[in-house]
Amino acid sequence: MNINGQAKQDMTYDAIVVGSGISGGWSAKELTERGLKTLVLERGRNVEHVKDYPTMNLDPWELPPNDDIPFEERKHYDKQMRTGYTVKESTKHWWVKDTDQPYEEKKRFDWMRGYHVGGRSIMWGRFSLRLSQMDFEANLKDGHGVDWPIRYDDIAPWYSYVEKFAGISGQAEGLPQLPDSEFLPPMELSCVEKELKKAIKEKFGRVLTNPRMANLTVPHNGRGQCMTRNLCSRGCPYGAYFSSNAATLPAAAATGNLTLRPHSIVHSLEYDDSTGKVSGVNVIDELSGEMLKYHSKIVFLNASTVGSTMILLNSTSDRFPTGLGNDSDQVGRNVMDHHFLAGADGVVEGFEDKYTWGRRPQGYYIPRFRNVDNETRDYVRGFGYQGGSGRDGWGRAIAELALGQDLKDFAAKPGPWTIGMLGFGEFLPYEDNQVTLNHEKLDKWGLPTAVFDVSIRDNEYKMRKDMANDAAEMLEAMGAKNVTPYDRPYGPGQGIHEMGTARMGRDPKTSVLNKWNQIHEVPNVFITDGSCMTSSGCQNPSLTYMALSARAANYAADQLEKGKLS
Amino acid sequence: MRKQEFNQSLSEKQLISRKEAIRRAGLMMGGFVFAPALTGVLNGCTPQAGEWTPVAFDKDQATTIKAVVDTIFPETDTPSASQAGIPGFIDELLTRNSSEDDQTAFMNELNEFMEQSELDLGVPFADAESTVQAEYLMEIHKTASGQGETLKNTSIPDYFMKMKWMTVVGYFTSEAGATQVLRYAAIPGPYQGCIQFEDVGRTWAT
Repeated sequence: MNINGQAKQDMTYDAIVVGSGISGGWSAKELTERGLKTLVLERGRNVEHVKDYPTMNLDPWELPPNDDIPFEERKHYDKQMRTGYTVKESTKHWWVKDTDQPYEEKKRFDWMRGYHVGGRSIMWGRFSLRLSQMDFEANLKDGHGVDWPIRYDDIAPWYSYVEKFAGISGQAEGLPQLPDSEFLPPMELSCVEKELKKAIKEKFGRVLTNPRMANLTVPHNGRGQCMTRNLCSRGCPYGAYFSSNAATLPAAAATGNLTLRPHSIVHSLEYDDSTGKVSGVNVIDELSGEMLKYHSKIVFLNASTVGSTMILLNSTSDRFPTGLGNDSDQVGRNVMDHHFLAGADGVVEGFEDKYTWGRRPQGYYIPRFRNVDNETRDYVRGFGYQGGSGRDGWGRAIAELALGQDLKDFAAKPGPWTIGMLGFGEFLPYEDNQVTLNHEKLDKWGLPTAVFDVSIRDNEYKMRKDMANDAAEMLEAMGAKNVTPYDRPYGPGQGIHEMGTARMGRDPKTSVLNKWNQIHEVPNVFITDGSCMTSSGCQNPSLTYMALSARAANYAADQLEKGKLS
Repeated sequence: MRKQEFNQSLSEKQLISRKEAIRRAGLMMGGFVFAPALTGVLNGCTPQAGEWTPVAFDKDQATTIKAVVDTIFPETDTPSASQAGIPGFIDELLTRNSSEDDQTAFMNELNEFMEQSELDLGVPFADAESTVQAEYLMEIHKTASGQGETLKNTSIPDYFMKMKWMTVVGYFTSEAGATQVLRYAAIPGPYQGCIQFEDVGRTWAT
């Protein structure tokens, strides 16, 4: 991978990809493999696979307990710390400092992000689930949002394509609402999860399946298999989970067609009235503050949902006075996420002689079962559960009324099995859930900052009742004790699945992108990060971003070969 | 921790993390739920075995801290808390990872404990026989656990539980505690979800 200089002759490429995260890595891989000289602009620093994972091999005693950052540093991460688990001593280098990257909230919005090569593909949760035909038809059927311009059959081959490269482990179940992927062997369920699986199949006809995740259970495409350390978010020495750094960027570099330029903050895209296309990408060098302009035949925006949206809104011209491609006034609207933090947990007796080996890096999954098969609840759409189980550990020694050797002996015996599940629900597109630019408050590079005004509504609140009650009912069905349902307040963005602010659609009057992720009015700009999403489904979205990126990139390359777009 | 203005109306529960929720859902094998009264000191630092030069404590305070943690985890066939570096761990919790308010509150409680225990035992806590130290702390523990009345209306039961929390966390995340009392595997290899407990033998450290 070469980091390019700034000589004028080097400023023109076949393609420019803005962003190097999960979608940008895929755009770069596909475009370079199709022979296009491609410049990837990343606003943050470079991160080389393995070499730049400084904490990947640290044992607990080499880190602070609870892995916390010093008290004095907390002021830099007021918002990034809201999730509780993201900013740790071992991972803080992956998250922006809120003091450097401010944004405003009309209502609470958790915008959790990291600016570096690889983006959130380093810290993602790795759950990898396909959308289904039901999801692509949902908006049309119940009238929320606009119709997707594609159906499952359009994307299915691209799901297969990206899965075969990325490596997704899981168990095929043959469910229409959650199509199977091209699976590597699944990671096992625990004893109590197998019991729950049996119980909910018998009593409700519902499915519990092994984690579907981008963690390799066998060596795959030159990357090593998962050693179940469960330290993924520090970066994996084996490359055992999918990230841009471990997988797509090395593949792109291997073509000889990739130029990666870190520290490159995109200011705007420059629209050329005479051609009806974007002719240049204006970049601020993060370190020097210098303004640069790069040129290409096509541009892929993969700057993350909010990042790409901010670039569009900041790309104003006589033709597009409110932002590039914003004739519909939909850019920045329809912010979605997945609402969660409703579910249940309980204690399971009868497996005191059983235990586990290894730290499985993801939990079991219960696919959506509500509002399928003509069922009608008092809300539309549905939710899936991520769950887990385990035996209580040494932490219970704190409360135990014992000291000395007795306390050591107590801690050395694992406690009862607990099992729980957490619903992830579909979040409808609401036009007034919006991110806008604040031109009054500029960041340290002089760019306008984001303002969020996003909330969940009646449909989500009603769904959450089922998310808690159904979980409790299933745990009771397996005979769990002390079953406790919960519905805890959730803040939009907290799912770190923000999406929908430059949606695909059939009609340019009500959407930003067409069925190939092209801006309706600007055919040489493609957007394949989360902003393109027309609805959210309840499935974790990254796999869909990968598939849409590969699909659009190959379409763009086809068009260029046919002499179009250039 | 400073919070945004709009957040001041949010309860702690509204700020609950996904990790916490998943922890409660049972995913975290070594996981535990923190007692709300202790969240002020839920910070971090690195246990360092061996020499310790106190930062937060004077000589008598440091001696008391060492005596308390070694009463919680004395040397047996496995190392004591002080051998595992817990006094330094507590020092760092207070100086690196806590607010000044939390640090001051803790020091006040420590001083109250030192005065009260000397009154009760006739000698400073650190100078008492180890059996006496253990009996004394056990009575306080009973009060903290709702099973006794000793020193009920003082800050001492809460002080003791903070000490126990810090000692247990420090000890089982130290190399000695994690590998000698518990079982630790840095690189477990393939996951096995349902095996006999005796194939592992002890609680996993992580």
